[in-house]
Amino acid sequence: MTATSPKSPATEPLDRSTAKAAKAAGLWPDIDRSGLLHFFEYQIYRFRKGWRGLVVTGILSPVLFLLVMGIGLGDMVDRNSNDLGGVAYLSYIGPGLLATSAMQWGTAQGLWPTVAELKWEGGYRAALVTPLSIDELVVGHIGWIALRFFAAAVMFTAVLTAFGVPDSWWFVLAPFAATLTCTAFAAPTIAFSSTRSDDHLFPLVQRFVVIPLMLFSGSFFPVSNLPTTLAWIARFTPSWHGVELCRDLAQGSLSYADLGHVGYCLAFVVVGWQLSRTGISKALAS
Amino acid sequence: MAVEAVDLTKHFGRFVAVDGISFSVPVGETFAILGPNGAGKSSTMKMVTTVSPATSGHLSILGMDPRRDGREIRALLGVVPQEDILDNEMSVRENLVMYSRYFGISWAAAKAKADELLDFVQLSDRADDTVEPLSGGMKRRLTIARALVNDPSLVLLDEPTTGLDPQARHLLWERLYRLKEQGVSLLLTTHYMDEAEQLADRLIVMDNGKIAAEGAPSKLIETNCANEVLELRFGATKAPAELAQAVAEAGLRTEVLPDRTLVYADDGDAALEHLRSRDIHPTGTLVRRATLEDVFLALTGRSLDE
Repeated sequence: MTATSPKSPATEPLDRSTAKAAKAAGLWPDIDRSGLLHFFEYQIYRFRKGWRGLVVTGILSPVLFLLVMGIGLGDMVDRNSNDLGGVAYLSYIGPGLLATSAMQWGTAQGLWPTVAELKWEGGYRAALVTPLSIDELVVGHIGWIALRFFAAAVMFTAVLTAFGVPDSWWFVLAPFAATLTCTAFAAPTIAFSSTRSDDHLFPLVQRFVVIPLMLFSGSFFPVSNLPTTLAWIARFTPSWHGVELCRDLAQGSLSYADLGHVGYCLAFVVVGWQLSRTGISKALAS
Repeated sequence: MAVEAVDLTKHFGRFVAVDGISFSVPVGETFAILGPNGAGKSSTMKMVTTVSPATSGHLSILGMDPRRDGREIRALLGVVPQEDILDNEMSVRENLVMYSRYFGISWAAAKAKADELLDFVQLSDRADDTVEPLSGGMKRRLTIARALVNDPSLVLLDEPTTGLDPQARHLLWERLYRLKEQGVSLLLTTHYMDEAEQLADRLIVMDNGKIAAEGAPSKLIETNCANEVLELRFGATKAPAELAQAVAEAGLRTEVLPDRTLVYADDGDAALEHLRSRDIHPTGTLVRRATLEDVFLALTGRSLDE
């Protein structure tokens, strides 16, 4: 919607006026479908040359991982272990790899690109002085990360299927589960990055958050193999919930626990989104 | 009114960036906010762009309330921020076209408008180039073109010519004049006195978040200092003690700077004659027209670049 002339707020219908007041007070996100579409349109146009990165994440990295870990290491594991409940190691780690790459990708995208848009290149500063609202910008920023990862996750899922990983048709939902995991990391990471003016802490995030989570979220071995304390810490990370969810979809062993996994990740998305909104508003207003 | 501010304040934690300022910009006027770095100019601008909410006070932009009608206001604003935030991954034309889409302008209209604006800012021959290799002046012009894609009623320019060479500045001023002729209201911040004198119908001088003076540039010079300034240099030695007395005799005001002494006089040459008759012989003298720089100095006791 584009206003063409200054108009008195008093002439607006009451319901629209109430909705506006609620949005102005921050009680309801100020999102117009057209605003969000324009945001995505801009990003897609800009992304025309950047799609190759997704192919690396979606195809190349799972192929390499599956060859090395699934087949190379898996052959050894399968001959010596009964811990995985009769599942071949390749089938065990395949869904886990999908979930951990979601975690890695979501975190990385929440770090550097956020500071680039807010500070270094300042694209969002320019976008915010158009009819676009801050809510559209924040939801668009998170959504654009999710959307691109979804494309990679579809490729990833296809690769896993080609390697014979899934045992169940439920696995067609794996890209959604992985994208949820990705967003559960992206949203809080964006909130963190929006408070930063440079990237000097980002390698620490990679080293002390991403890599430990990749190793200890149950993607390569059951967390019950960890010491009790570590096992419980692992169960509080959204990456563990993401791994479990993807694995249950692959094996068709769904239960109410999976609703819990979805809910847990969703909570990270919602809280991260709200914190991002605060952080991004502050970063752009100063 | 294009902009109306009453008792506007902006706090960042304990820091008071804008401290109860009131001003109004009638439609069609070019209004400047002048002041040194940290005076509160940019904070004021951010409130007018609706991006930063005021801490207290009343602000109305194009007759609307920025807290409620931000989206509608921004649809009618053209904003030229302090830094050129252009999209380096797109060509010059694409920067304009894709930005237009944020305003809901159709592709066809956006493309036509982009060509028209590139012509206006004299960048037509660079339309398909990427942004990166453009000169500072070209980037600034592109940023200005981008601020005009929606035919704004009010254009906000934050330090529009900072860092540009004189030729680029004059070209930019000329384009801004033409916008003004088209009836667009302009609100600009600057710390360049000549810029404010060149462009502004009226201005406020800000210092420490407050308004130190307000009026038309010529009026401000008239009320706050004399028509002319006599600059005296005394080389390595200090100004002689007799200077103060001689100046007081003639009823003139002076400002002593580290490298020179300024004497405000309606007739600079006559003032110099008077000093010479009192046996004061500076090593260098210059009589010039008083500028807003002198107004600022008179108002605050500091020069702008301090």
